[in-house]
Amino acid sequence: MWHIGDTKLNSRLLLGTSRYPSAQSLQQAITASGCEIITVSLRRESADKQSGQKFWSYLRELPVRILPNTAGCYQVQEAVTTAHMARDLFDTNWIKLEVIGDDYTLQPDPFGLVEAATILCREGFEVFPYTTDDLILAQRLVDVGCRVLMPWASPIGSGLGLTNPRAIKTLRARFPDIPLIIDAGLGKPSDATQALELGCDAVLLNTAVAMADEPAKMASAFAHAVTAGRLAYQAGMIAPREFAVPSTPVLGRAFTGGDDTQASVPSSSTLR
Amino acid sequence: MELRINGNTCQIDTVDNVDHLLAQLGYQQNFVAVAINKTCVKRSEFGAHPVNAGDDIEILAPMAGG
Repeated sequence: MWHIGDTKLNSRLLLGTSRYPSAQSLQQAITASGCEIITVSLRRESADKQSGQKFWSYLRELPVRILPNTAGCYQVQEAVTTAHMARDLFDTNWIKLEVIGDDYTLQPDPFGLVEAATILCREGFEVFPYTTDDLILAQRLVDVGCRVLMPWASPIGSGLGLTNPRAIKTLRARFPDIPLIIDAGLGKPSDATQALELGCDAVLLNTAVAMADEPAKMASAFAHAVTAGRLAYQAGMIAPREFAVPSTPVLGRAFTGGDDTQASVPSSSTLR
Repeated sequence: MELRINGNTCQIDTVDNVDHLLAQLGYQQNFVAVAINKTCVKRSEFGAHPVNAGDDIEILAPMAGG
C-alpha cells in the first residue's frame, strides 16, 4: 500500500494509453498490469469524427483512476489552461504536468514547470510534475506544493532505462516522504525492477508495453517486475563487494588437512 | 461571424453561447472541453458563456496519452 495525497494505492504501475495496436489490446494490457491509474491527454476534437468521444466511452468503463496530462504544452499558459480543461472534463484535480522545453529530447522546461506548478498547486491541483532527475528542480517543485515527483529515467519513448540511477538514488535519499514515480524512458521489466530497488514508489509506462509484440504479456511482466523490485527494496539488499566471498562455509573443507579437521568431527553433544 | 476554431478560421452563423456553437458545429454528445482565447470555459457555463466574433476557440476531447 502506498499513497498519493489521500489516495491509497496498491499497484505500483501506472499505464499510459497511447500507441496500442487496438482498443482491445489496451484494455487487455490494463487488466494484465493490475494498474489503478491510467494517463490520458486532451486533443482537438473534430465534429465529424468525434474520435475522442469514442475513446472516452471506452475508457470510462474501466475501473481505474484517470490522470490527465498536459502533454505537448511548451508554454506555461498552455499547460495551465489544459489543466483547467482536464479538471472540468474529468472531474479530477489530478494533473500530470508537462511543460516541454526541447523538441528533440522532450526534456521538461524546468523554469516553466516550476511556474506552472506554482499556479496549479495554489489552485488546489494535485500536480504530478514530469521532471528531470535534477535535485534542485525537485526541491523547487516540492517547495511550491507538489506532493509527488515524476522524474524521467531517460527521454520519453526511448527505452533506454535509468541512465542516471545515482541521481534517482539521491532524490530518494533527499525526499524520503515524497512519492517518486519514474516517468518515461523505461524499456524492459528489469528497468522497472531497478527503479523500485532504488526505492522509487512506482513507475509509469507507455511505449514499453504498448509497442511490445504482446502488450498484455508485457504489462504482466512489468507488474511482476515492480513487485520484485519493491520486495527487494524492503528486504534490504547486500552491498556490492569488489572481491569474492564464498557462500559455502570454508570451515570443514575436505582434503585440506590441518586445523579444519576437528570441525568436521561431530562431538557427542551434537549427535544427541 | 468569423471565429478561429481549433486553429482554423471559419465563418458560422451568429451564436449566443458555447452550447449553441457546439450544436451548430455538430458536436453531438458534448463531452468536450472548451477554451476561448486561452481561458477554460467550464462545461456548466456552456449555456451562458457568450461567443464573440474573432474569438479563438479550442474544442478538446479525451485522447490516448502517456
